[in-house]
Amino acid sequence: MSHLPVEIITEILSRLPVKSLLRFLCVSKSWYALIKHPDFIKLHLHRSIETNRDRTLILEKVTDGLPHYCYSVHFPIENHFDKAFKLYQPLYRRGKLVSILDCCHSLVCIHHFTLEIHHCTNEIAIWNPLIRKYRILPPEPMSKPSGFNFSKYNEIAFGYDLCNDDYKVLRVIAFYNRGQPLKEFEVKVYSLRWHSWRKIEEQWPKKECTVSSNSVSLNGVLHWSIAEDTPYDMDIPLGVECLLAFDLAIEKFLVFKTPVQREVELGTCLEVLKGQLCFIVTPDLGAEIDVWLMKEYGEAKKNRCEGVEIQNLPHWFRTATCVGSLLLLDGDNVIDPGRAEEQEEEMHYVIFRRILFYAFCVHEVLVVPEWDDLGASVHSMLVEEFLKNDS
Amino acid sequence: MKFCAVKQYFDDENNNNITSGASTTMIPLPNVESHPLAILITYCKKHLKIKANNADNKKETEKEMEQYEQELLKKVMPQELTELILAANYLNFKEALDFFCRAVASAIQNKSIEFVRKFFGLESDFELGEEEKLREEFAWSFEGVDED
Repeated sequence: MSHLPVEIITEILSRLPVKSLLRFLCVSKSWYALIKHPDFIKLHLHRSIETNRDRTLILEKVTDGLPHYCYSVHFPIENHFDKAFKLYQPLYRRGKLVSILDCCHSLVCIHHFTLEIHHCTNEIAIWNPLIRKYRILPPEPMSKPSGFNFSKYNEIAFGYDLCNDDYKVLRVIAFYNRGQPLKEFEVKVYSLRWHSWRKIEEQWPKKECTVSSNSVSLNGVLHWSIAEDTPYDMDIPLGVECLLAFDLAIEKFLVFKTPVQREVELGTCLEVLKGQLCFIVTPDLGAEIDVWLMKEYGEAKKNRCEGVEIQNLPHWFRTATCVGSLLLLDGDNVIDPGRAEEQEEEMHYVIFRRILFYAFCVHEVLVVPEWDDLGASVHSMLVEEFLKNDS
Repeated sequence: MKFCAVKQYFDDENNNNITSGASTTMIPLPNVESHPLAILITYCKKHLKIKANNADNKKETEKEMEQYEQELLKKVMPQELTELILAANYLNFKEALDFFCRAVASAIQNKSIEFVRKFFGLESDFELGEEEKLREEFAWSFEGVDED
């Protein structure tokens, strides 16, 4: 039997799913070194994204507005979802809820969810559910400046810094006094590579603004939809919608206009579709959902963005999320997936389920710094097929 | 020309101004056995034919190619795949190399470590206890593996 050269072994191994690769770490020392090498990991990720072979949805089941349990669903081909597996996640503690913050490549950032927004000591973890490894972020105290009585989480967000090949968590805490508009902010960034937090001098934009969407990471920049000129610290954002961006590499904030100049709506959801920012807007419960794609990424100076509305979507869907170039719609009726024309481009959408899920997508990949193991007590439970009949 | 190594040979010949009729030149391929070479030639001809038939339709080409590849795999033994890969690599025949690598990946995906070692002619060179530690760490990845 002739021996294959190492480039060929690499080619073969880069086409294997993660489970096989982790097992083959035991084949020999040279295979161990090859599989663990950062260049191989990058190649494997690239192949995985190219072929969608290992695409997996991580679903967070939400009941009565509260997150319960995570599930993974393998989803390599459009319109075909494998069984849902319940996932054991590393922040599981009795009596505490865990929510998914965001997802990047194969990493999911989760944190303890609490309705108590004043509670700033939540645990945060970065987790790779497909290799069952995780890292809990070290607790980081906040330094409340004198003159303020109250503090709360203004924002936490997770993203990938392209320039430094690092995954980062941004934490912004606001300090305020009741009834007064003035606030001060503490901005800290956690780097996975260095496993440490760092305070940065960059300030959350001083203008009164309230975040009106989730955060989303695109091209090494975190994005939020915000309402400018909201005079007080209100729960319901008012005013014209803008886009706030934080560049993870240079660690600076930018503000610029969104494609649709309009009043901020409740329930704006930001996603990334086909490498572009996508706004999914639910104006009112029961009203039609609008989906906008931001075509041109505007610079702060230009203050202008090109956007296009995605037409011809079915009207009955309740939530939507984006996976690569697919728009996933969750609705009451399961009908045959079809195609919707969106100007010159084809918008492919897929109906997936009626139960309310927040979905995130991971690609199987081996990103493994030295991590804690989920241990022998982990076991994935096979649950009833959520993807069958309505229940 | 798909067999890039052979193309290189012709190019080199032209550069050296050796007169030769293309139909009578003998090109030495010391590293390729006749059996894998025959399969590669068939694969190549089929690939070019399908491409010509579906000139503008890339999807049709891909579909037909996939069907042909499935048929081909049924006739080839897994052990032969290594020889085919080496031949395709030597000849610098990218499409075939890609296809056979995929085929091997599929073949070994769900197999045990012992099978994989035998397949590639490898031996464990771990220190005492190292392999056990790894097996324990990733015990879950050993579940559902095919019997040898």
